[in-house]
Amino acid sequence: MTGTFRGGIHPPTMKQATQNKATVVLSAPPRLYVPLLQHIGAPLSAAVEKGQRVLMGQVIGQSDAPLSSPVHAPVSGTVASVELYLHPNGSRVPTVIIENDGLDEVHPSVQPCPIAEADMTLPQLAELMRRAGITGLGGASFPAHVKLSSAEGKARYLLINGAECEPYITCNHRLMLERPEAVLGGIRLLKQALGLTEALVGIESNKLNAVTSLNRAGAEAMGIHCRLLKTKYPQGGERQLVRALTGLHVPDRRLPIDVGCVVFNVETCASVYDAYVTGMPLIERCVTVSGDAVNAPGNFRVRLGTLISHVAEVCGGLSDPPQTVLMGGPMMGTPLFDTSVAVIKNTSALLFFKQAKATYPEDGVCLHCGKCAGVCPSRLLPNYLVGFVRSRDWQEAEKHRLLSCMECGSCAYTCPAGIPLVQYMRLGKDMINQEKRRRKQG
Amino acid sequence: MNTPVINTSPHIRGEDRVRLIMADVLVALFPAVVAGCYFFGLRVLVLCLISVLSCMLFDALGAFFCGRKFGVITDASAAVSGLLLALCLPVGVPLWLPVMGAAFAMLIVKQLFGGLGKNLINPALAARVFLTVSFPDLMAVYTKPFSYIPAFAWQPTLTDAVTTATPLTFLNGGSFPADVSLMQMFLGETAGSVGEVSALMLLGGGLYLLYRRIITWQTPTAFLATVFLLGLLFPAGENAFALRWASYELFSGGVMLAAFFMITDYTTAPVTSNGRLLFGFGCGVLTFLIRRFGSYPEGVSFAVLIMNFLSWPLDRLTWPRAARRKAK
Ligand code: SF4
Ligand code: SF4
Repeated sequence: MTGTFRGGIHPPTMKQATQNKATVVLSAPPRLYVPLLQHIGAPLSAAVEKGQRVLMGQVIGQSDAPLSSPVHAPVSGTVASVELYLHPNGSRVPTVIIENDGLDEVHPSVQPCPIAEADMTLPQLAELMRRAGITGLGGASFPAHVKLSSAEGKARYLLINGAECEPYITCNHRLMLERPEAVLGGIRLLKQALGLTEALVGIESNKLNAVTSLNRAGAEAMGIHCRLLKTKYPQGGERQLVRALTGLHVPDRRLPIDVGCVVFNVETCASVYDAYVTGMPLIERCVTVSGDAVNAPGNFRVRLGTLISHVAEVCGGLSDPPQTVLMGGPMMGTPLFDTSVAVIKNTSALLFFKQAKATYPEDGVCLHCGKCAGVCPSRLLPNYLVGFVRSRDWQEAEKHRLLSCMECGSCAYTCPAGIPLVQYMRLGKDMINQEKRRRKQG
Repeated sequence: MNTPVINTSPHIRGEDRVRLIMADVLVALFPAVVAGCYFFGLRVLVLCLISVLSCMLFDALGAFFCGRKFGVITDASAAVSGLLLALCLPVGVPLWLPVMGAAFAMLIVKQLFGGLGKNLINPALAARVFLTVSFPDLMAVYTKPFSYIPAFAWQPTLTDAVTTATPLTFLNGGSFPADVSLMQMFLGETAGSVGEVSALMLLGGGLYLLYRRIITWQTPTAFLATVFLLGLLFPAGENAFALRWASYELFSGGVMLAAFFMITDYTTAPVTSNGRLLFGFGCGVLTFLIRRFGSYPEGVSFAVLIMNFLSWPLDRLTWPRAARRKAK
């Protein structure tokens, strides 16, 4: 039986282009642009200065704030400057620009973890993850050590997200095929730290060979059970994954840990393993490069800080000038208006399209067909919420749980009238939150 | 990089568009139209065309006067209303009657209430009730199947030789219709509105819509089950063969057409699945009550129109709650 959740949509997966392409290591470019903001939380301050020589794996940005995650030099070389530079989110943030010397000389702090796996405690592992700068690599880039610490004493289930439900993206799939031992090693460490004997890995049914791969690497013997999930978007959403794997509902405005679940992405697990075994912090990640404007779609290991234009060039170039460039998947990814931004920790994919794919007619009229309500994984009624947002009735909107919208975009994907539903939801959420902040201050 | 197009996510969209949905509904109604032509002659086609065209015309006119945009999309939905209206008419009505109905449906019921997606009640059914009330003589005269009336007769004179009572009249009187077997009811070889007689064809069209996911199962199932069960439990007269009675109830009048094409109308029904179940149930109960106790033999249209007003309250009532802890 394949696990699933209520609602959701079935966009064409578009994974054929890259799912059979082995991950290729992309050599580091001559210049890297490492933004000092790659996670959700407090901004970092630079730990290096212009002209200073840095080594691979050296901390170059950090913060004392608990909700933060340091960044490290992805190569060895010289700091060309620390300046405001364009971030994928469209704003300018402090960025360390490194001139690569091509030597990849490793910083002395990069050492294998001396603690035996069986003795690993949760605070120790959390500290290891913090120092390695590991964040949720599935998309949100939430500092992973904070999540782990918050689960102390509360976790009943360790859930691993290998669903990869966004169309086009295949980097997690490839990771499970190519480095199952790293994924399993990371899961084992997390399991040990949380004091659990078992873990569940959720994998969509279109990636059967990933299950085989993990099982062949001995998953079952380690108490790690792979569970097939229905191929459906947003199967990889945390709440949906919890529901599909354990049958538990995460109540509105609560976190999975409130029902005893802690969820990590497969790539996050692999980087935990790497940090444990080699001591190398998070300085590179898998990225799927795809889309109809790409000559040779594929999966690549890319150093963080590599410019997108560079990635596009070295992996075969673009056949046409793209009209839409996305960082992340087509359902929730960020559109880029400039390709001279860098790959960061949560860049799971780079998609280049000749033409914008989704258009919203201006005169779309809601037919009241209820399709949006049928697909909403948060069980909202987007058609009515749009009405509240349009009439600026924030109270009513909040009462009807607008804030529970996870912005998955299923509603807008489905609406036959082409109403930009999720866009209204975002607007409404912003307004409600602003209102709240104002009330708190006033 | 080309001139970038910065859209917010999602960056892909699904396939189905309003026009395609409406086209599917038209396709699903096609078998019923064919059955109508078979039993009542080509006049059925003429009525359909007149009704569809006048609905499209009046809809565009209304939209124009209300300063609203109109185009292919609104046209397609008007065409569906038009076809549904024609299918509710007896074959012997004068050719100007659908035009009257179309004007009422599009100008008053639809456009005055805000146009596509905003009308409170089903335009086709509202027009049918309007015509039934305004022209009771014309709307209550049904002809026998295969007694073809000239296709283009403006206002045909119907002799007693061709007219007959519908099965509903019998059912209303508490007895089984004379000379109409259950099989004939199911296939449609009986007197009635041109598109309502053939349960088989409507069922086929309905299943097509379900298969294409244009409609959801909740409304038709709840409605048909309610009509059937109430017919089973409370047959009129002294009908010991209750199962047979319930089947007659199910296949007579507008039940089948309403189940798949009227109460599944997007705009005038609830959107939640529980709301849709209740909506279908309510339509079924009201149909039963009006048929059994009302003065009109046919209760479906009134029942659906009454329920149309309740669709927003039903959505409110069944608004999905926040997931509760551990509910499984
Ligand atoms: S309302 Fe929010 S949660 Fe629901 S489908 Fe739309 S974007 Fe997703
Ligand atoms: S899917 Fe679009 S047309 Fe249908 S009810 Fe929702 S908003 Fe309205």
